[in-house]
Amino acid sequence: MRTAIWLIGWTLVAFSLMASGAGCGGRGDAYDERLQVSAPIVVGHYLAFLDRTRERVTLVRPFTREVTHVDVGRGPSFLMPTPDGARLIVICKGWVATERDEEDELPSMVLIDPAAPQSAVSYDLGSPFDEVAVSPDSRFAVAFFSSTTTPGAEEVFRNPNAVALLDLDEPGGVPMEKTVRSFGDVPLGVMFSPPEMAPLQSDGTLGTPRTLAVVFADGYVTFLDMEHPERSEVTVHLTLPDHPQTVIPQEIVFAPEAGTVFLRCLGANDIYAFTLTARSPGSATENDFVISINTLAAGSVPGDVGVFTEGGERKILVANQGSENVTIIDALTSEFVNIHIGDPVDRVLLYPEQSPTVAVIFSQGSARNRIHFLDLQDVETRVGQNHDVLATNEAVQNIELIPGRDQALVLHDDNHSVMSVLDLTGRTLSPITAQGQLGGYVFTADGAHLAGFTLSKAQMGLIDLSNLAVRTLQLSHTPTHIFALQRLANNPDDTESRTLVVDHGDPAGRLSVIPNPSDLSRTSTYVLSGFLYDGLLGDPL
Amino acid sequence: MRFAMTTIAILLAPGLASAAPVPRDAWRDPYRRPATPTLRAPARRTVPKAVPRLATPTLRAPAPRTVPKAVPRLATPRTTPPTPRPVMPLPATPPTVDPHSGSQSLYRQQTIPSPRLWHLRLTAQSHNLLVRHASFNPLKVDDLLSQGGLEGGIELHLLPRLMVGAEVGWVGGGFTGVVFGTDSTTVKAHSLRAGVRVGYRLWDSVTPYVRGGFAATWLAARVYTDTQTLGGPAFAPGAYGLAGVEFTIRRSWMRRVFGSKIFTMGLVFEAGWVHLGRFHFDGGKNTDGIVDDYRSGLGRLTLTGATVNAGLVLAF
Repeated sequence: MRTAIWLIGWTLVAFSLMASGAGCGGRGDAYDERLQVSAPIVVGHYLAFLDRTRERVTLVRPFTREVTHVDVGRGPSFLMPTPDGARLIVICKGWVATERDEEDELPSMVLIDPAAPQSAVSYDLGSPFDEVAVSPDSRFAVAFFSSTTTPGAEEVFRNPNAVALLDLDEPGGVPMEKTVRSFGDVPLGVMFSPPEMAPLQSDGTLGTPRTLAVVFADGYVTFLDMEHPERSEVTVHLTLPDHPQTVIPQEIVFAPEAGTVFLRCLGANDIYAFTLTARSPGSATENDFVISINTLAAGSVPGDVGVFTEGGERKILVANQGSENVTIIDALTSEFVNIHIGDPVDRVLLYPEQSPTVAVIFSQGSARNRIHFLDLQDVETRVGQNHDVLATNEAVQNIELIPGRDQALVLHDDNHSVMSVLDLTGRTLSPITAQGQLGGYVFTADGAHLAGFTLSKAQMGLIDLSNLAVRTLQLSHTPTHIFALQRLANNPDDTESRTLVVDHGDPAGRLSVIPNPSDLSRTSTYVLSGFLYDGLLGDPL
Repeated sequence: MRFAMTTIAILLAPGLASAAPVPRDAWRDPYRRPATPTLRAPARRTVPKAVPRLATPTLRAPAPRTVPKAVPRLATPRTTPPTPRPVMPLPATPPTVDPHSGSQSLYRQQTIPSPRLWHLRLTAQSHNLLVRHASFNPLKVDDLLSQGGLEGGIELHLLPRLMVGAEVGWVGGGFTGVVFGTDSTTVKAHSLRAGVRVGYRLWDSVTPYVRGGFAATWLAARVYTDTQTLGGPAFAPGAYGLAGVEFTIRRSWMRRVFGSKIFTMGLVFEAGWVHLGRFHFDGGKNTDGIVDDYRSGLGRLTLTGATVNAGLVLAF
């Protein structure tokens, strides 16, 4: 009897332990939260998705169908590729522990090479920044707070003028954190100069080249020397102290060979010209240049700025909305010439990009049925004779140069005549009609094809830009984005970069892959689906 | 819980009552009332408090008891011959008591029936597997995989108390869950099991045992998003090892209630370790759509952990 009671007792104890064990177990909170995955971005040959719920980046290589998950720090909030497409930058806001068994985690910036994700580099940051800007050569980065965000739940105080400067080519580098000089406002954005930017020396030659970061803020800009982050920044007021005018920096162009920077601002009719002049620093933390300011009168309400070289001299082309003209300014002498256009133009495209000879000018703010061409050869002497106009049937919404070709894509604000292909040499326009409103478009990396889709249609259209032949590909689902992979700089014979990828916006992930647009067929097209749930059962959350 | 305890108590009461120890020398208790022949089962007797006696072995057998002679009634002469009353056979000569044997020796000889060579068993159980593995977390909020099972087996009595058996069975079940707030998950599993079992009868109604064997499990795990269904079926081999105890009703009690002692029934409780296997959900190519669809896999699901089972047993 005693043995029987003992057996029953232990059986009940086992059942109780089982029940309590099942209750005490359980899973991470992330499994009960709604999955938050960003829209994809292209990084070289990969598409990257930021999974905020599971705090990781999912890399998909469409051409080979590889799927890789890379864990990042706590609170990932921002994702962007480097301009060369070789690396991916993730900003993580860190974690402030709320439970005793949790651990605090500093904000960080994670640098991921998609080709070698296991060798991701993490930089600890002092502040939970929102954004990061990267120099065109992908070497330097500046992390900063976005002007549109407010302190999050994990922040008590925030210094909105704090920035962190990083050299991405130094794997073990430590970010240099500093607070840019402020006059009461917060940074609006950060722009980088080309690495050839150098101050003018007293003998007229250029000094040591370096990359400058220019921080925009309402009423002032701040110059940071990225080669020497320990040196003090240079802050320039855009208005006089007793002048209540609101001036917001909009666009900056650099003229490295003249040591000059041109700035277009909202609220100012003049173009600001900043000339860097070398000086001897008094200490290691002082700058070796000073900035002199010149304002270039350029008509009324400048809308866009372009820089070109004509006759060996740097010229500034300014499109003026208010005075409906363009202004050609000599960067050295500040002499200018106005050319009447007759439209409130606010966009300037210079073609070809390397050594421009033609400016394509149009109005984006108030769409017009005209495209203006301005030959830049002897433009200051020939003035209006270099001006040409192409009338269009539909209003021009935007114009985009097609990489590697003498063509540009003209977008119209119309549900039927959605776009036209502009021949820049013949200055002719080939309209492309569509069955509905254009949802998105992209050029292949080699510039051979234009792919796009219309809203609510599970189809993709493809235009061969060499002969404007049009093809249609039926897709399995409705597209939401279309992407072209990037051509890697170190691989000129890169056939993988021709791949087109259509994102269908599926929460579990669904991509249609067109590996070779020249051979457009359903047999060569395939779908990758469910990759955001890839390995779900193996994820320890 | 109260209902379960009551059920257990009701099912176990006869077996446990029969297992109550009987005084060693009750068969020669001098206060014991002589057995009276009767047509009915005698009423339950209360044994008077045992008088301590010297444990001196009886040197000779007690005098045989005789049935008192029938005395003819004089009042009403019997016209028909009397119906002979059934004669209760006298107990056989009591076993010889070894003065050096323990107190349990005689008791066991009285309660264990002579064993049959074999028994058939049927078991219906609930299986509760505690899966403490990360791969299980996306599918269910807690760690418990509950299943039902039916098993059959045969037992051979190698020794009076030692039983060795073989068993086969089916265990199956499933559940639904939610992951990421909106996506539902389902798991359905079916296992075929085969193994061996070794038991040791403590009493007629209490049998601890151990058992173990192999399992072949077919499992389907799926995640349903708004637009896709991920996962699918998978197979994995596994194994199990369990220890438990079986409480059955005495066969003599079954004979009194059901008129047959060909079967008995009871409860079984067991615990142990079960490894259902590692299930691979590798994705694949779907050619049903307008273009080929390469679906990603969910990864690997490992179902292993401690288990506690309970159920009913029917033994023939």
